[in-house]
Amino acid sequence: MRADEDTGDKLPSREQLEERLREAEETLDAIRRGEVDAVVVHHPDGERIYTLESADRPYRVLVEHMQEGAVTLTSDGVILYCNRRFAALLGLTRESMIGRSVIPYLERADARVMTELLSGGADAGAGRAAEVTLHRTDGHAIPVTLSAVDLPFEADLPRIICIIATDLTHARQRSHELAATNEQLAAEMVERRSAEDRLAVALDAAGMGSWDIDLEQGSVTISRQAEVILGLAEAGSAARTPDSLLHPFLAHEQAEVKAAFDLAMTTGVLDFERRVRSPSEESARRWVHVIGRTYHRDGLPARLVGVVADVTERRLMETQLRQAQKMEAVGQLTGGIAHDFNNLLMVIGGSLDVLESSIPGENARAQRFFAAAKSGVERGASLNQQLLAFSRRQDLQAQPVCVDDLLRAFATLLSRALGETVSLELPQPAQRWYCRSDPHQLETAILNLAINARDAMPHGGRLTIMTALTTLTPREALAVDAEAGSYVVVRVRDSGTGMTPETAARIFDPFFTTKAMGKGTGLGLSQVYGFVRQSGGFVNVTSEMGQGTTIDLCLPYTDEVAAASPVTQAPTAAGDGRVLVVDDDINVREVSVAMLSALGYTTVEAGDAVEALGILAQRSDIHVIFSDVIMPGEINGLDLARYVRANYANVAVVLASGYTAQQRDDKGTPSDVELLRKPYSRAALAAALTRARAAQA
Amino acid sequence: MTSLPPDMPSSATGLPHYKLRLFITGSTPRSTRAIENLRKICEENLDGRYELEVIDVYDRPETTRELQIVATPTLVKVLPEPLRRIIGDLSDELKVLAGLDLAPRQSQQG
Repeated sequence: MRADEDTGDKLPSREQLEERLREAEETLDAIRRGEVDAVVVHHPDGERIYTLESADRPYRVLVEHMQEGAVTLTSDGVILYCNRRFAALLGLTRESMIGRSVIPYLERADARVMTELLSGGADAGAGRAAEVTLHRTDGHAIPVTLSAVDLPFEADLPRIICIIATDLTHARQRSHELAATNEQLAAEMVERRSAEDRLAVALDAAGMGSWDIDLEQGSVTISRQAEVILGLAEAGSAARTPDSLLHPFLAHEQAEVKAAFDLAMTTGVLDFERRVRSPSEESARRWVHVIGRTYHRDGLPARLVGVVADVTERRLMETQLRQAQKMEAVGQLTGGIAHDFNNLLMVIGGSLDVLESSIPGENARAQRFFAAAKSGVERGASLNQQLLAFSRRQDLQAQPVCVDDLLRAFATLLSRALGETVSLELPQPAQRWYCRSDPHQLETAILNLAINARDAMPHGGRLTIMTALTTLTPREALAVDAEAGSYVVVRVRDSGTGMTPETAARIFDPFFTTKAMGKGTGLGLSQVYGFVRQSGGFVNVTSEMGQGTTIDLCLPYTDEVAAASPVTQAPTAAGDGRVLVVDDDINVREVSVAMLSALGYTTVEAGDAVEALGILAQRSDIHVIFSDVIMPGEINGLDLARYVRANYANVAVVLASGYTAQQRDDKGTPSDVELLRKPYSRAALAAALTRARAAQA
Repeated sequence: MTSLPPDMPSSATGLPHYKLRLFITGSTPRSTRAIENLRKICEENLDGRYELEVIDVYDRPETTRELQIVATPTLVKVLPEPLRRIIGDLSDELKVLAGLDLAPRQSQQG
C-alpha cells in the first residue's frame, strides 16, 4: 500500500513504520466501521471511485425531482433507468419500462433520429440534441427535446447513454397561442383600418375633417379635409404642434379657442364655433364648428380627438331665416296697426270732408284749418301706405314691367331727388328684361333706395342703377326663402359710407333709422322690403364700411310683355241713386254715409253681410253696395260681392279695405268689382262709384 | 473544490503554517460533515495560518494517486511534515488534533 513512500534513500525509522502501521489500521477501521463514502481504486489506466452505501442519493433525489425526463440507455436503446418524470411523460410505470427498448415509444419517423443519438457518431462524448415526438399510452403525442451524453466508462464495459427529455408541449402551446394572438391582432388591425376608411369616407361626405392631438407626445394628426377647412397648408411630413392648430383662428379669438381646448381637458368635451381666416382671401372669414372629446389614461388627459366642419353656409342660412322670421313678425304687427289706423284716418278724413261742405259761405280761416287737417290725414295715409307695403298687405297691381323702361321714364325725377352732388348712372343693360311687379310700387322702392343712398353720400358721390338676370337653384332659393327660377336683379349701388354689419342687419326694420330725428320715418326701406317680398322676390344687401352699399332687388322674371294701359283718373262727378253701406264699424259707416250723401246719393246701412243680404232681398231699389272687405261673421266683403254679382245683375259693388291684398285669395276678386283703398277721399269714392256703375251699365 | 487562502506567513507568530488537503466524494453526508468539522477545527486551532484545498475525487480522480488516497473522506496534512492522513468524517476532534500534531495523541484506536 505504501510502495511509493518506500523509495526514500534511507530505510524508514521505527517511528515511521509505527506511524504507517497505525495509519493502515485506522484506514481499515474506518472502512470496516463504514466511516467512508467511497474507495479509490488505483488502476494502471486511471483511478476509479467506488461509492459506498447511498453516496449517490443526493443525485438520485435531484434527478427524481427534475421536471425533465431522465433516462439511461444502452447503445441499442434498452432502457436501464428512467426517472419518474420520464415514465409520466409516457403515461407508464418505470417497472414496465426498464429493460425494454425506447424505440417503440417514439413516433415511427423518429426512430432513425434516436439511433443517431445513441450511436453518438464521431464526436461521442460530446452533448447531442434532437427533437422527437413521444407516444403516450392514451394516444397523445408529446413533443420533446432529447439531449444526450455518453457516460464515460472504460472501453471494455458497454456504453451507457444518458438522455434528458424536455417536454415541449407547453412551449409549443404557448407559441401556438402567441401565433393565434398575433393573427387575431392582425385581423383586428385590418378591421380597424377598414373602419377608419369607412369613417374617412363618411367624414368626407359630411364635409368634415378629423384631427387627433396626442397630449403626451405633443403631436397632431390631421386629415387633409380638416387642413382644407382650417385653411392650413399641407403639412406633409412636417410635424404639427397642438399650438399650430390655433393659427387659423382670428388673432383676437385665439386666446378663447385655446381656453376652450384647455377646458376640454377637464370637462372632457369640446364644442365651439369660431371664425377662421380664409386661406384664399385674406379679408374673408369662415365659420368652423369644432367638436371633440378628451380621452384619459391613468386619470390624465392623453388624447383630444374630434372633427371640424365648415358651417359658414349654415350660419348664413340661420341668419337669413332669423331675419325672415323677424320681418314676418314685425310685418304682422305693423299690418294690424295699419288696419286700425286706416279706420281712424277714414273717420277723421271723412268727417273733415263732410264738415267742410257743411260750413256755409267763405270762411277763409276755417278753410285754412280744414286744409291743414286734411293734409295731416293725407300724410298719415301715406305713412300708413308704407306700413302696409312693409307688411305686404298693400294692393299690388302686378303686371309685366321692364325695369329699364321704367328707370329711364323717371330718371329726371330720380336725379332731382339725388341733388346736385350725386351723379346718377344708368348703364345700358344687355337686354330688356321683364319682371312681374307693380310699376308704381317699384318706382317708390327705387326712389326710397335712391334717397337713402343720397343720405349715405353727404359729400357727393355716384349712384348706379343697373339690371341683370340671375337664376337661382333650389338650394340657393331656399337660402333666401324664395322660389327657384329666374329673377330680374335691380342693382342700386352707391359710393357712400357703407354700413356696419349690425346696421345692415336692421335696415329693413320699420322705424329703424340712422338719420337725425325728424329726417326720416324709418319706413322707406321697409316699404322696399315688403314690396319685393310681396312680389315674390327677395332683397340682397352688401355693404362694408367705407366701401359703399349695394342693394339688389330681385323680382320674378316673366316672358310676358307689358300690355301697358295707363290708368286714367275719372273726374269727380255728382252721383245719384241708392247705396247700401255695409261696415261693422259704426263710425266708418257714418262717415261713409255722410260722404255719399254729400255726393248726392241716398243711403241704406247694414252692420254686416247677413243684414245686407236681408235688405237686398226685400228692396229692389238698391243700385250700389259699398262694403268693407273685412267684417266679422261668416261672410266677408268679398263673399258678399261675389254673391251679389252672381244674383243681382243690376247691383254694382264697391269694396273698401285697409288692406286688400291679403284677401285676394285663390277665388280672386270679381273683375267688375271696384276696390277702394282706405282711407279714401270723397273724390276717390265718387270715382269708384262712377266706374262701378259704368261697368254695370 | 474549495481553497482557503493563507492569511499570513508563519514567521509572524513563530507557529508553523499548515497546508491541508481534504478529499471528498461529491455532496455525500460524510463528505459534507467532514468539511464542516474541519472548518471548525481549523478556525479554532489554526486561525490565520492554514491553507485548505477540498478536492472532489469524482471531479479529479487523478489527484488521489500522488497522496495515496484509498478512501474518502480523507484529510491529508501536507505541511508541516511529516505528511499524515486522517480518514473518516473528522467528527473525533481529539483524534484530528492529534493527527495534526496540535494535541497529544490519546488513543491509537480512536
